Amino acid sequence: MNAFQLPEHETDWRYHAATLVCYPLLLMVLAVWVDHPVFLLALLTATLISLGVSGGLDTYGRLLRYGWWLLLLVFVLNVLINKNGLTVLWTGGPKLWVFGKLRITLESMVYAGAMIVRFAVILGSTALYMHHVSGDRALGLFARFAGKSAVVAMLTTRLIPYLGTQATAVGDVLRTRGVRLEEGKLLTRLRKRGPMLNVLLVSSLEGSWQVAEAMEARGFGLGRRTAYTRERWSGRDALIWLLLMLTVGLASWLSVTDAWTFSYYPRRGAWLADGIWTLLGALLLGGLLAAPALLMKRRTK
Amino acid sequence: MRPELEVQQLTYWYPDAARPALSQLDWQLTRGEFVLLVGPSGCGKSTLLRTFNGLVPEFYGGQIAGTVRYRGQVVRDLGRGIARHVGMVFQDPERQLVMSEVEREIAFGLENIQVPQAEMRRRVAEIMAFFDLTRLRHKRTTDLSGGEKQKVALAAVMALQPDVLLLDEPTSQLDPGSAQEILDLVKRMHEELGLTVVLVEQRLDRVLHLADRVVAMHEGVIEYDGSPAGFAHHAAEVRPELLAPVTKLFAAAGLPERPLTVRDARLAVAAYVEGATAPAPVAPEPAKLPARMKEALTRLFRPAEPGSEAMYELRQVRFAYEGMRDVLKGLDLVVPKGRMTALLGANGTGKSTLLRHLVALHRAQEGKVLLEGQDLGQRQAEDLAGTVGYLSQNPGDYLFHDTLKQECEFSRELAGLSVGDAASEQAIEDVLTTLGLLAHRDHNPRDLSGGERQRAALATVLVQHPRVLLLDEPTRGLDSGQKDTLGSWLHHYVAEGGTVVLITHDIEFAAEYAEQVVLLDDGQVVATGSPQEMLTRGLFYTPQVARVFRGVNNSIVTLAAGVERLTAARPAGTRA
Repeated sequence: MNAFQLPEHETDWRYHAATLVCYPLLLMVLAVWVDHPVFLLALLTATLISLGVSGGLDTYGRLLRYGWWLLLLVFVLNVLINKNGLTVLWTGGPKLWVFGKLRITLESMVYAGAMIVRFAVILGSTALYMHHVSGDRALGLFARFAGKSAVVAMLTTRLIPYLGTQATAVGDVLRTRGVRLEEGKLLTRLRKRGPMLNVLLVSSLEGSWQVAEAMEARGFGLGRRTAYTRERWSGRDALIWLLLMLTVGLASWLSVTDAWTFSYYPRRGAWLADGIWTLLGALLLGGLLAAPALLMKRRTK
Repeated sequence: MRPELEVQQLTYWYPDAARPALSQLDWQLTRGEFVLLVGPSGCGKSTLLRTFNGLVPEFYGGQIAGTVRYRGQVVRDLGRGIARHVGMVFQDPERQLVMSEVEREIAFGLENIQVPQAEMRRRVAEIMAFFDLTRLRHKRTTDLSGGEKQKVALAAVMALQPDVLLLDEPTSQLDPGSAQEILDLVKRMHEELGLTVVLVEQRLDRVLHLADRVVAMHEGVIEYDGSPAGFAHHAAEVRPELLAPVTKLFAAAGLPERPLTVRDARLAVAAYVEGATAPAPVAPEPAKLPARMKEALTRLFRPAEPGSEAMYELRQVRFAYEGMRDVLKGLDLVVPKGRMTALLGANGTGKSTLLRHLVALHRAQEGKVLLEGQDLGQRQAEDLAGTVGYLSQNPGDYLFHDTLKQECEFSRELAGLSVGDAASEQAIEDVLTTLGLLAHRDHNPRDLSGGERQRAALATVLVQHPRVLLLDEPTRGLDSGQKDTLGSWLHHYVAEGGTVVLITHDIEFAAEYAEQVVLLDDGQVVATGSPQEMLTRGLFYTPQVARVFRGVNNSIVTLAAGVERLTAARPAGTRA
């Protein structure tokens, strides 16, 4: 099982998979679309609320455990490379390869901070997607339009953990025969693992043959497939979709009116250029995004 | 009545095969019959099964002559639509599931044959209720046990509502409990739904009593087609290796009866052996001591006898996989040198985990594992190569060179033994000869049959001259003859001074060949003793022969002992 995902029986069957897919997708799109740090913070807040009420913070934590270095890298590279800002905080030091002489500006720090918030929202919405929707449900959505591709994707998702288990088993067998997999330099260690690839390839081919045979015995390839689904459209879904539509409408209006435009360079613009309206806009956007999450709140058992 | 399935003058060659897998077969199957298809590995029974649903030749290619008909229609003309009428369950539960979730797996075939959504919902719900799978509906198929996977595979086929169910050794990869559950379901569907069933199975003791008809094949032709009772008489004359142990017992003792079940055999034995129906007096059990004290006393006062020297000693071994509960819970065990020890127990009791400790693939988190008195705590599996040979459940994991000889040389090289010289050639030849594989020395080991692959993997281990052999379910998927070959070879290996520890669900095999039987439960050894002590008192862990003689002679577990007892009881002049 995917370590990040809930088991299928714990996913939320009260909502249609399309609803559960589109909500984190909208968060992700907005994270790319929005530029203003205040609006980005509103998005992050809504994402965290959503993760908190759905019980997905653990999944987010596990993603961050793997992704924190990416956030750090984004911050450091932005600060080191970008020299467009005018408010110099520090300059000097040795001349570095690629980066040249270091010049750290306030503007680059703010921009890097905004980028981190943006990535945090993207990771959060990914965690939300993983937490809400199993691979099966997501693929089930597409099966109606591309049945065979959905089956191929499903087989692939089964193959990956299978290959992992197989690789461990073959590695163990090689060790008991006397292959010291962990000794030697990188190239030597890779060479020693050569037989593993060989066995894995042959086993996968044999396995694929057997699965294909079982599929044909159950009529696969007979023609256009029908699609099995347990998804049900309900009033709850309609309400969530209404909120999502309102959010898209608000975002479009904010974009058209340049209300969330923010200037980072050469000098940082005002945090609240339109005064209270900027703040209200951000609050409204965050509120509209948090509302579906509150409606979808997990039932306590 | 028109036959359900019919083959006429059927001959089939696999691509590039030198001889046909099926040769001029004429055969019919009547609606509602339960037919058992038997024969040694490679006799053509699985191929015949695949002609009934068109997989042969549509999927496999090759050349075919003659016709196969389903209710009068030529199967080839039905194309893949035959799946609506003829369903098939395969051997390996792992490799016939397609989707990642149980419910979707059951619906997969229905989607293929274009069943409308509402009808699919109804059928899926019904099938899950019938197979008691409702609680597993959203579970991932990869998280299921082997038995559950096979049950899902069976349910997924039955959702298509076929008229004929084909089963290709559906229980060969399962533990006895799961195997019985699958067979009970098949029996129920046959009886309650009137389903026509064709079952290929190696373990005849499990299924012979279920069948209306038995078809025995050999080298692509049907040798016998008739009643199970008639089959017992036929096989006793022509193919005794196909007989179930109870029948083999009487045939080998030269008696005329050919019982198919333990009950029939017990009645026959009672007729021969005076007082057989009265249970033998049971010796009073000694006063019970606390188990640990008893073990400690046994250790202290154990007499020094030949063969009692320990190869392995496990003391209070505890082990848990990361983030999981303990699998081994303070396990104590002594494995004597120069003996064959069989580990029995249900799935998940820690048998494989224990075996991995013996080859240092796992390290005890508490307690000690001693190999000839030396602690394995700091040793790696690689260090034991050449001393301890380990054969996992999947022989394919050992075979990746182009020829069997190269495979053996690779093993020798790893153990620091010479390669390419006369001594090496001789050593490899010796091992391959004893395993009956010399003719395949220059063949690709992946092209060998299941039983041959098993022996090929064993050969790669044996060319390192290990003193200990650890085998994880070595009889899985082997036919009766192959099991006898393996058992005899292991017996010889032990006689030469080797030590064998094997995990098996095959009680008959353990009874015939093991000298020590260990029963594991919940991560602990719950009983240890000789097969006579361990395999005669229980209900489940008892071979058929012991069940036949229960109450007559409670120490009989092997076929040879049973035959001896029956021969002694046989009235003069009684011949088969």
